[in-house]
This record gives sequence, structure tokens and C-alpha cells, in this order.
Amino acid sequence: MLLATLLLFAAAEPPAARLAAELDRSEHAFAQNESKDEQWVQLKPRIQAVLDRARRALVGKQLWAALEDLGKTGASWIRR
Amino acid sequence: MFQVRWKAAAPKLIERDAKALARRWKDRPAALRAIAEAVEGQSLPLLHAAPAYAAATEPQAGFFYLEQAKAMADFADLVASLAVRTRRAAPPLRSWTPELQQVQDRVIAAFQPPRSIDQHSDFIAINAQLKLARELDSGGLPAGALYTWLDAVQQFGTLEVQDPDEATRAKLGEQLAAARAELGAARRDDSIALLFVQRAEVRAGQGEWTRVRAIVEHVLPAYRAAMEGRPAGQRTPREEVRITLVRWPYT
Repeated sequence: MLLATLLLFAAAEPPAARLAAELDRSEHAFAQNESKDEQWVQLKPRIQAVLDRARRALVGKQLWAALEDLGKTGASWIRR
Repeated sequence: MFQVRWKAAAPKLIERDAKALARRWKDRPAALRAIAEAVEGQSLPLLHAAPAYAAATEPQAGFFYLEQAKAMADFADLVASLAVRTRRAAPPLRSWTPELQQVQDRVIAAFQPPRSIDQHSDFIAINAQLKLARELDSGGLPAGALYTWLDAVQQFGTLEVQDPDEATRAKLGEQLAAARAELGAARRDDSIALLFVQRAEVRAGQGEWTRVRAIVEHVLPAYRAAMEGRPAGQRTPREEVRITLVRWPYT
């Protein structure tokens, strides 16, 4: 019951606020990863750029642009 | 170890995918549906690709694709759970096969030296998007297919256009503002087009003007034509052999 209530509450939360929270989570996880793996080191600046872009889009109330960039931070398709 | 983890994860992901395909999108913005479908549509291909990578390369590669498959499903769930609704009329979603084929034909025609050498990685990225768009289209995910097709149009357009001069940049800015106003006043839910307008606005702020130009001059007209159901041109029937050489799923 409590879980269902929490899920309902989360679903009703304004999308911009939820995206901001998810972006905070992504940025935190990104900052925590101090791996020296060569591929990770190469990818880091690109992921950082996408995170920064998502933040700018969110501040500019460009919800769709922020949402797609948030998705790209967890995927390999960060070229666009 | 990898096989054990994969066998434990696969049934859950397959079940999640089936539930995701049954989602109802009534009164939800098409952009929301498009992003969710485009992401969800990659989850199972990545899941099924993972064992092959683990066997052909190393377990670490298999784990990478397995975790990416989970991440895709998680993100699609997040997108679908956002509290966004629309009262506008739904866009006419259908199969985009003719439009996809038209872009594919143009990409193949453009793949000639020196561009095929100098811009090789760009062509790979465009073909990866077209492959994903075809999979989404044939998998009954039309909003995701439309979004991914338009993304391929943007990527190919970026190769085709010149970096605009100052006067052209100013004009592009005006065109973007006009497009935003037009989409804001529309009775139809054109949020997929709005997504690209927002993308162009963000790119303009970063000085990425060839991308802005590709969106204004290629993506938005392609979207309008698709919404009007305009035939994408007749193809001459011909014998065709398609050979697909694939290593990575979407890169």
C-alpha cells in the first residue's frame, strides 16, 4: 500500500521536477565513477557535455530536449 | 558467470518489454511516446546481442550490453511514468517505410569517395539510426520510428548543409521562432516536431549552426510532409539483394 502510494505520488510529480531529480542522480553517479578505464576516460567529456546540455535545456524549459539528453547519458548514442 | 547473470536477467527483461509494448498512449504527448518507444525498442536487441559479444570478445562486453539493455528498459519506464498529458489531436502515426527507404537511398547514393572516407563514422551513425528506425517501424512502434527517422534526416542533413553565415543564422533563428509559434497554436499534437525545435534552440545556444540548419531546412519540412501523408516518391520495382554486415547493434 505504501509503495503504491509512493509510486502514485512520484507519477503525479511535475515532469520538470522529476527530470531535475533524475539529472541530479545522473550527475552524482557520473562524478562518483573515477574509473581509469581507457574507454571510460574517452567517453567522460562527451557524457559531461550531454549532462550540461540537458541541464541547460531544463533551465530553458525545453522539456523534450532535456528528456532525450538525459536518456543519452545512459546510452551509447550521444553523437546527436 | 556471464551466462548465469544473463539467464537470470533475460526472462524479466522480456516480460518488461511485453508490458511496455502494451502501454496505452491515449492523451499522452507523441514526443513522450516517441522517446519511450525509441529507447524500449533497443532493449531486447541489446539483451540478445550480449551473449554473442561475451563469446566473441570478453565477458565484460557481454555485461556491458546486458546492463545497457536494463538501462534502456529503466529509462523507457521513467519516460512513460512522467505526468504529462495533452488535449490536442494525436498525430497520424503509421508505418514510415517509404520515408525510411527514401532516406536510405539518398544515404547510399551519397556514400562515395571522398565523403565515404572522410565522413565514414557519420555514415555509420546515420545507418545505425535508419536500422533502428526500421526495427521500430516493423515492431509496431510508430512514434519511436518517426522520431528516429527524423533523427536520421537531421544527421544526414548535417552532412549536406553548409555552415551558415551570420545573416543565415539570424534567418534560421527567425524560422525557429516561427516554427515554435506555429506548433504552439496547432490543434494537433506536434510535440515530436517541437522536440526538434527545442533541440535546435539548444544547439543554436552552443553555436552548432549546421545542426540547427539541418533541423530547420530538412527535419521540419520532412515532418510536415509526413503529417500530410504526402507520398515520398515512387520507387522503381527491382530485384534487390540486401546484405547487412553487423557487429555493434547501434553504433
